Amino acid sequence: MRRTLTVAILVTIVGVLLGMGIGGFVTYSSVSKMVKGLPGAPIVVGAKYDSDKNALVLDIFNPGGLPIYVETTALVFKPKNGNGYELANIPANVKIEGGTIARLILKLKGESKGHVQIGDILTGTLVYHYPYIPQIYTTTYNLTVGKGFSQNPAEVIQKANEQAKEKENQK
Amino acid sequence: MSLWFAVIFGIFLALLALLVMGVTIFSPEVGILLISSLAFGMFAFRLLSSYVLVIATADAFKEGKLPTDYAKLAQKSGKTEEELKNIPLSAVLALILAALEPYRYTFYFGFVLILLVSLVAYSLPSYTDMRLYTEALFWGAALTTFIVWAFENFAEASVAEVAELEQQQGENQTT
Repeated sequence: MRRTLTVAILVTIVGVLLGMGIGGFVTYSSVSKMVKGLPGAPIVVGAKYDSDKNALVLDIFNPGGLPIYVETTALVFKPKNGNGYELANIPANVKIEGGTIARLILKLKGESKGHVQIGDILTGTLVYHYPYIPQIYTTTYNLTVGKGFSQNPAEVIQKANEQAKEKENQK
Repeated sequence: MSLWFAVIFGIFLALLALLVMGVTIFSPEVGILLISSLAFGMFAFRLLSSYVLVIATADAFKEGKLPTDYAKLAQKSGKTEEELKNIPLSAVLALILAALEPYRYTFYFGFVLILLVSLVAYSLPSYTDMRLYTEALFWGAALTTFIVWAFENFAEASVAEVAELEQQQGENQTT
């Protein structure tokens, strides 16, 4: 009798582990498929003014599963003193795959090379769309020259979650 | 018990067929898992039927019933009925388990093969879909292998119990 009992206990333990494995696999495969079909808004995880190239450099993370097609970009240069200018409809044709980071380089006018100073504001705009979805989206990022940054996408998403929770608690 | 086994196995097959038809449309992974489990079940049929026979015979012996039909036992163990009638029942059951040895090793070899293939596919840098499908194949094989392994252990335990009972009966007769 004791031997049968031992076998039964062993079989139960292994069965529970196997069930966890199979359940985890089935859940993982269905969830990953669902995530692959979601459109995600692009997040700027890195921005700086590159004085050598005379350009605004944006690192854009696509948190969703669908690829993002950046059609055109626009750039606004607002110096602290004097007049700025705007460059619109610069063709980009960049594809950002789901879960990856792409670097976009928005060139300023050649004449402003050497005149960009700390405290000036550079505004980069992306016009993008997703496959099949018949909409055109726009997103804008303001960079104060001298305050460039670079962040880990996972960190950005975690901090965003934390702040969303805090705001919910305040209500 | 073997009739009940056939009935339960039939219901199991019907459910699997329904699930395969319903689920493959939505999720090919689950379909592959079920199909691989079924395919391994076909490989394991000889093993499972012999284990069920051993467990059922041992259960009947524990209730005091000696097997009346030796033809099945003879068929599964590869000996003649006359040979089996002269030896104790635990030895007969042990002979059946011993006759299964090549099938058992072939079955576990197939499982290890699937395990190795899915590990190789898992470590390949590309072919993400392929990786998912081989993993599904592996989990289906693991499900059936788990069932076979459980039946095997229960059969061995029941043979040990029969041997113990026979030893007690022998001691009672001599005293």
